[in-house]
Amino acid sequence: MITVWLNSEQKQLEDPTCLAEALARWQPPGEGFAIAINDVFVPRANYAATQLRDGDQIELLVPMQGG
Amino acid sequence: MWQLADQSLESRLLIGSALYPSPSIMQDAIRASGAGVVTLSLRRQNPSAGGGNDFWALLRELDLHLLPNTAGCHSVKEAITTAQMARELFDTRWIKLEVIGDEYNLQPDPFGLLEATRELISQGFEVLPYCTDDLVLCEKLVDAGCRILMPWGAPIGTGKGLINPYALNTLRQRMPDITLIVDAGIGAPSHAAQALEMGYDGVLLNTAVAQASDPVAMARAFKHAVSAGRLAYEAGVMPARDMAQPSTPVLGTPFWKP
Repeated sequence: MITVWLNSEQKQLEDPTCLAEALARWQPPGEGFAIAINDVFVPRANYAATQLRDGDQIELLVPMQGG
Repeated sequence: MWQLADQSLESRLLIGSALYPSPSIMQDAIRASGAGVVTLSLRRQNPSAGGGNDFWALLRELDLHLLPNTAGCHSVKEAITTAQMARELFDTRWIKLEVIGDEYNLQPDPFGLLEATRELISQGFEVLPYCTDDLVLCEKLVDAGCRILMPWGAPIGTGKGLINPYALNTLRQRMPDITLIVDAGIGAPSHAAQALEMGYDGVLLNTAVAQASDPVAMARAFKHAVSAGRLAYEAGVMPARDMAQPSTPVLGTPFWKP
């Protein structure tokens, strides 16, 4: 098992798990989100090829009001 | 029509999507403003803060050009990553680049802003930097490749209007070929008109409309103010004078005695 952090919330995952598998489990809202891991942007095309590692900080952002 | 980067726009008003009393008032106010560009942001999903897919659906119904921001970023790294995420999520290369240097008045960090600008332009972004009205900073942003600059009128959300007209006017005079938009600090339609009269290409505002007692009516007021300001600029505002000069002809003044 590995421990990762999704928007600062602790999550346990099987090792290995790729980002696409983790997202399928967490069910984020539709297509309307973008991801960064450890402060580095991960393009959607790379989700399946991105293996998560113990301690990864995953940032999942959605559209929000802004000025 | 005027040109903002590679887009032709009718309105010179750019409007924000935050702080409205309700999503439907946001939609109505943005429509009433006539703005062709709307700003938005990215955040962690938080049902109590709105946003997410419902907000996204409402905004898409408006069918406007999207200008995502990097609000809240205090470092170059955060701003660059947020811009990259915004580009994918909103399918636009436009970014309103904010790198905040001071938490108290949300003043842009000129050094971080310039560094982030250089990197994002090298990655193909159209960077619209939220900057101070410092001439040298603005020149360096242009040297970095910015075609558009967005100096503040006053700190975000203060509604104080154009607190340094001299500096803003200097920018306009020294940068006749750069698209200049006053971003932040606009409180009243007269402030927006003043910026346009000065020759600014547009204004970007949010709080002044969203926090008005009647945001939809205020949006209409800003729409007219921006049009009036631009028309006045094109018509040529008379130069100010120190001494009075009568407007009524002196010739034939009654009761005149030599």
